[in-house]
Amino acid sequence: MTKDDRFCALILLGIAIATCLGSARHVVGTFNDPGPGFFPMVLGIVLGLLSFIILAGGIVAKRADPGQESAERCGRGRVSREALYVVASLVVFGFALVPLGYILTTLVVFAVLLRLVARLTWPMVVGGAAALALGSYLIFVTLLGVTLPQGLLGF
Amino acid sequence: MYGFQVALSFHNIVACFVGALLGTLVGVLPGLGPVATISILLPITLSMEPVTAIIMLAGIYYGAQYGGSITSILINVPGEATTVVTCIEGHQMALQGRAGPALGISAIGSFIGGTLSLVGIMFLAAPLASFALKFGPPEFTALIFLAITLITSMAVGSPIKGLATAALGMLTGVVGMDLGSGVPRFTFGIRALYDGVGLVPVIMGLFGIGEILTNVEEKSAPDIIKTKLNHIWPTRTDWLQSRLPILRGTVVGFFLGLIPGGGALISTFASYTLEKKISRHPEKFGHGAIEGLAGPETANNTGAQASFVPMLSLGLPSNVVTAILIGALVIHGVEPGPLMISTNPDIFWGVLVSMYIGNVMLLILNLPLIALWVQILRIPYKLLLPLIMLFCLVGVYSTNLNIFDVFVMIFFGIVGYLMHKFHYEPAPFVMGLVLCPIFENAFRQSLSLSDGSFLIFFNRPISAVLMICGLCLLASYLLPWCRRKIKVLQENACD
Repeated sequence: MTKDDRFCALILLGIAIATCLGSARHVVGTFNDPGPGFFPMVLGIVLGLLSFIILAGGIVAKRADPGQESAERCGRGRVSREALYVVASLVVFGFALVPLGYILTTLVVFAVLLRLVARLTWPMVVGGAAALALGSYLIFVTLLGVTLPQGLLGF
Repeated sequence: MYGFQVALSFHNIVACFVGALLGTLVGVLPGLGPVATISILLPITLSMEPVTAIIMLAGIYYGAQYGGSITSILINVPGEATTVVTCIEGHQMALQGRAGPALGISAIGSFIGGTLSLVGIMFLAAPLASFALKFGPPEFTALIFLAITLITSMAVGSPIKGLATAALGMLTGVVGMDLGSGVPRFTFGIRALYDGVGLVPVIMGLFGIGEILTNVEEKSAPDIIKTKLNHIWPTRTDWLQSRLPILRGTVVGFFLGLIPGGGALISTFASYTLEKKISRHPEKFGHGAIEGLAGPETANNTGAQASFVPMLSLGLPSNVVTAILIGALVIHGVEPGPLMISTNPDIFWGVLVSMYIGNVMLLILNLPLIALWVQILRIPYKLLLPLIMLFCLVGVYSTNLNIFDVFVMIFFGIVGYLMHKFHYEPAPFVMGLVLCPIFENAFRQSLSLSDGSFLIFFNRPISAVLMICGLCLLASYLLPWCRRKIKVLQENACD
């Protein structure tokens, strides 16, 4: 927990500093005439203070019980392979949707997903992905009238 | 009466019905709580009339909450913090073969609580609306300050982390064109960001995708109780035992729901504690006491309903769900605020009455459908996951037909997942994001009014009271925290 706290606090501190620098590029203004950079500057300072508090808490906890540290760090921070697959397929979907069209993208991305995450057998994967792509197309486009990208194949 | 007219119009009844049904359906799905359900289903309401859309979203909300009760009772998985108490007593009842009455009494309790709180709201609305008219920029600044300190104080884990999350949410809300000067801020030259970061992709990312990523790592499959569900109607003794807890739950839920930052969550816990305290058989609690189920379930619903009052009358969300609903209102071009009861009475009364009708629907709809919901509970998560993902992707894309939103959703999905991993709650983030424009405006206007003096927040009675409450609350969790840390350091120095 303490290591996590220090790690998060540093990230928050980074965001806070970036925010303050970013706000300074706009007109910050004065208290009686706040400009567009004023509010983000205030937020940046507040966030910076909070991250200091969290950081201090993490450091104090580490000082108090240094041995606890190594026991708890492993495992918690690890990201599972499944989660990575899900993120990767989402990103691929995002990039492929417009150029390839909805049906093709869904077919390919979800076939991979069904195989890697749901661990279905290949026939199930093909059938499942096809059913998902065509079924959702029917529901969303034909039934609900949602506009989805046509892509190079025209559907 | 006007509300009944609005809520009983044909398409609003249909919206309410579909919302309650969809809400229950998705809420029953393992691993998806009410917030995730609303986030995922939000895009389908965006093409509707504002009243209809909010009625449907409200339907989704209490439908999902009822769905959460079903999962809590049958498989002991609370979809959200509000149903933790339901798990304690309801699941025990189910283990004793009394799942039917447990489900029945939660629906009936919710219905009774909903009916009574509607009457309460009717009496309260007019004075509240005239009170709200006294609000100027300083009052709003103070009110939002109080709301944020309240919501973070209720965050699971450390309130300081909650505050940091709320600040991050506000920062996200800053992105885009500045309303005062028209200057684009923090857009990094990306044209799609000029209008700000969309609420829909953010909440779908945080709650929909984030939840998927978290769930995909947890591999255990829940056990569903095989129990006969043929008698759902509670027995005479059940009635006698739950009669008073339902009434007390209504009162507790109603008043706690009205407070910003309150709502369903504290109401359930308060009601449970109350029932346990005054019960003649406190030893039965934890072993399937129907009083401990009826009270909190009623309070839960009543609190949720009452929390719509600050949202609709002040434009102030008291929890994530109402925050999302306010965001939806803004997307629909309705300005939530103190004038809403007078300018949009259809929304105010229509939504409140529709919640009542929705409860009736849940009652008639769900008692016979419980068997079906149980079947849905058996669907393995790995098969649901692609469906939910696809729904999120299509939903977020179709709102603006903009692929950029898909990436925003993915980004916040990762953020939500990491927040969960590092024990930060996403709820304050959404509050910050939704409240940011109102807060910034009110804050800047107040300072302009006062010529730069912060005393303006303390010179006016309403804002002074709100501000002092907020500051006391802030101090109440900052000071003990500091004291604890200093003590740790001192002990360490002694060693």
